[in-house]
Amino acid sequence: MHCNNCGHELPDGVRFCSNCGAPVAYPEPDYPEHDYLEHNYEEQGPAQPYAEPEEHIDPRPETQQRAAGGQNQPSDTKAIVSLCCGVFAAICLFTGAGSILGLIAAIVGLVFGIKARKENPSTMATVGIVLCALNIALCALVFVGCLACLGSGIAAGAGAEILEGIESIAP
Amino acid sequence: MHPFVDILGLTIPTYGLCLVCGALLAGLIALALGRRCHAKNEDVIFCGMYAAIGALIGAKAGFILAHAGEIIAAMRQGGLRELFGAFVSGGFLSFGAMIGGLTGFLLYCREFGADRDKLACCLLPTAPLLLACCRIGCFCAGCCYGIPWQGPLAVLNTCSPVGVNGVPLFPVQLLAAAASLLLFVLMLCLPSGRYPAPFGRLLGVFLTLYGAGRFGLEFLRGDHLDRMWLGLTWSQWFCLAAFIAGVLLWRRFRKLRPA
Repeated sequence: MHCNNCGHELPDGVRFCSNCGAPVAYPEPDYPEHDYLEHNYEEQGPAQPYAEPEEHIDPRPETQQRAAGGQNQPSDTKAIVSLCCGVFAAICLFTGAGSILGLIAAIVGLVFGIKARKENPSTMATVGIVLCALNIALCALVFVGCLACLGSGIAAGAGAEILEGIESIAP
Repeated sequence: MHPFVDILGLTIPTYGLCLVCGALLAGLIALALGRRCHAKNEDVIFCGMYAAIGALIGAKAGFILAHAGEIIAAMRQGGLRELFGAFVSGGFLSFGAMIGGLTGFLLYCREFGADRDKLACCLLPTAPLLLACCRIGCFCAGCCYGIPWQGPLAVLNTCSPVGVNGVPLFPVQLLAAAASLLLFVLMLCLPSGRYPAPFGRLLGVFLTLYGAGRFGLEFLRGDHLDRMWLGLTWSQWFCLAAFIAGVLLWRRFRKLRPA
């Protein structure tokens, strides 16, 4: 059968067109009144109390619905920001002292990625989250000092040593 | 000790390695606990990330606040490199990490309407595990060292860039790691029964026991003894505050949540 709206070929039984999203109209069953009632009784048993008809729900993801309607998608913007931050952080990671900027970018990107994914699960948001989390882990690996070092002298020593470590790793 | 390890030709700080390995292990255990508490995997991972970000920011903010005067002096005297070396890359405050992590956790639950009790049952027990891994990292790096000690299990640092070399010391980091692991096991056993324990109760137990344990262990530490007030170190004052807050929370939420 074909979609009434765009003419796209559709398999039997679908409720919405996979191309344009329009609801698919099926012809009414052509039962004589007597046969219809009997057929209905056999299948469903005695008549059930009246129930509200199901609300018309579009089964497509929110992204597709909005794309069909030509609307802006804030979650997509957040996903793009997350991905950009992840890439920026990955570049900064190899710039020695500039990696602190990368860490900040990765944190911002991770928060945006999580928000985007919670609003609308998309591959871009997932990639942004993974990239930012990986960058934070790498930053933690190479230049996070001790959590409990209160003495500034100790911290200064650790910082200088770790900075040298970063510089030895960085090309 | 081994403050740095060589992996595939790269020199990696052992502390960072322990921290990342601990975070990965804690994440896996949190996911396993999530099944027991019927929490969504996505919520466990994302809430853990929020808490980790909060902990990172809190730890650094706490350190900068604690050393505000020194940072201003360093800015006046030294250049950007000295400032970075001294205050940006190294130095974190553990209590700042706790407050920040807790804030991140609560922020996530509020923003996305997640079940606080369920997520607390997954994530809070892994906090002592992460602390234990950090303490092992401290032991390897030679920081957070103990008092001079000639008895059994004394540790002699020879190449620590941040600790004391050539003096036998008490291995307080390993004792702290063992205590944290004990707390981890205890908190795993705490939410018994079908219902997740209330968030306040778990947090109360954690703060009470961590505060009491750390208060005692501080007497065996040999570093930052210059930062004392009324005979106690700043950490011990924080421990006292955590202990009191923990007892109050525990009393308030000691009953299990009804069905």
